[in-house]
Amino acid sequence: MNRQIILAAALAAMSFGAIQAQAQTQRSILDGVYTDAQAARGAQQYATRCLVCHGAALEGNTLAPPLTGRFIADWAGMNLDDLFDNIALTMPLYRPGSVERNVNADILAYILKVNAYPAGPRELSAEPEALKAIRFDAWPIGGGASDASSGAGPR
Amino acid sequence: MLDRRHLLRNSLAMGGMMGLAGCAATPRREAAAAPGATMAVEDIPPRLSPIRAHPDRLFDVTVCIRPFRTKGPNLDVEHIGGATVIHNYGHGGSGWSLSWGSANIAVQKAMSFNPKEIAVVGCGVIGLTSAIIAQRAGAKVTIYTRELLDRTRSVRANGSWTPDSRIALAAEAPQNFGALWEQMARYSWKMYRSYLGLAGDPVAFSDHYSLSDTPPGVPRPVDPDVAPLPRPTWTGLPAQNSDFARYEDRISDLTSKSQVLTDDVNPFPVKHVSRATRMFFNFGEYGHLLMSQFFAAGGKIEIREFHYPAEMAQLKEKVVINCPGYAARHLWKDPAMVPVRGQVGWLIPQPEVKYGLSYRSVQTLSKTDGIMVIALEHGDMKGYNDANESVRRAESEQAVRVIEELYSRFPGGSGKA
Repeated sequence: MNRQIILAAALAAMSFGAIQAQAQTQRSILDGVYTDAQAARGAQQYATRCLVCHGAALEGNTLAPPLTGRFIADWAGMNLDDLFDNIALTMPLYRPGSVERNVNADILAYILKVNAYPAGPRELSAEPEALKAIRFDAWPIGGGASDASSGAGPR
Repeated sequence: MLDRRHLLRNSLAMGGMMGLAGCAATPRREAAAAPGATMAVEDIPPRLSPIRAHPDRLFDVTVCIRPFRTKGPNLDVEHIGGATVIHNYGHGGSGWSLSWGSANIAVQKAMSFNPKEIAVVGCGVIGLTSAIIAQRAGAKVTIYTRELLDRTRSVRANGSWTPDSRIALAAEAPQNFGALWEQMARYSWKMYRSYLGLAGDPVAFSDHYSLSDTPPGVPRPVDPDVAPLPRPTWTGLPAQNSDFARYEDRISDLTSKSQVLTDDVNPFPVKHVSRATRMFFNFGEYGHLLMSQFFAAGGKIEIREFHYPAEMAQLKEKVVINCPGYAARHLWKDPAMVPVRGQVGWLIPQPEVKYGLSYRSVQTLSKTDGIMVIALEHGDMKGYNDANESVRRAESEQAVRVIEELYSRFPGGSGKA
């Protein structure tokens, strides 16, 4: 009996989590998922940890990939936790996995900002579930339905 | 007994004391070891073969219009009727040099829209390198163009590493353009590294000798053969060479330094000579290689003329990299585009001539497909706002005569100076 209750509760919790996650997957990096202040912190961290290889304009070099342009295409359609985990596991090159999660979130906010993705009212969380609920989207071709004239995205 | 040809060759090879006075050839090693020699043995100029500079050996004269843009190249993103257009034009006299770096910036912008297919408009060196970089980024690429590379203005250019030649006006370039330029130049330089040392020398280095009758810094006397610049008839900038933006100091670590040749090693009958080693592009082999790479990666080409920007939206690819070169002036009505005319006289190829020189405002550059002879009086102002693409053969013949006269002063030459 107890087992049944536990199982039912667990199933309920899972489906509730799934519904919640589904609701959250509506979010996209196009929606403003970090703050300017966070990106500013990230810029400082980027300068000391990432810039030496990925460059001042995130342009990359012959060994390190750019963090603009093709980078967007490479990650388009994934969720932000995929990218976050990749950074957390493989970077920085000289000591992979050594950077705290909240610092990596700040750096990711800076990368989004340099790629012209909009800032929003809330900081980008370093929590796995929150990151999983944000889709990594490329810029809409043609400027998007509502923003064609202003030229959303890279200029 | 030395025949005339032998003497000429040796006098060119020997340096020092050769000039007008002339003397018997002495072995090069002796020259190197001569007391008071001021140059390291490995830097003493090697044997130089003379250029057969005669007007009747001019087998072609080509003219191009440099796509100069006063604000520097246009790399903006524009959305037209559901298509996204990334511009990549307006590289002035720096197109070959900056092509890869500029292509990379345009392609990175294009890829942030995650296209599977990309259209490239134009098949000059900017279009072709954009297409190849886009392929490397994972896109399927079709080039839409009026002409293939060998019929574009690109191959009527100089084709040397001149990354800040007429690239912008200092007063009009955006504030951050210097950093962007440096990014383009460094990326291109790295890319050219992978085209060195290949069969046919698509990309190569050669020594360039700058010859002057007057010491460095002392203005040359007015040459009666060179007409003064006409008074500007256009409105706005520039009016002088110094109005053009210069950025070469940003990448001074990439290129070797100029060396002054002292009298004891100077092979030319001209008092003041310096030498620098420069990278250049052999249009035929390099162009063929780029086209082959593009096709090998599955690239397609469609011959097409564009009349209006709106036609970009008719292409099946919805992300377009726009590389029209000078045609941007009328196709995109870009008021910052200014024609800068340049003309090249081509002397019959001489593979044994492995150097270039500049003398009395004439520059030569020996390539696999000919020796280029270019008149450069008035520097960067030459040809400014001149859209006349018709050939002026007399100008090239005059330039060849300047070089002909130079060689005639070597001992054993005709002496008809």
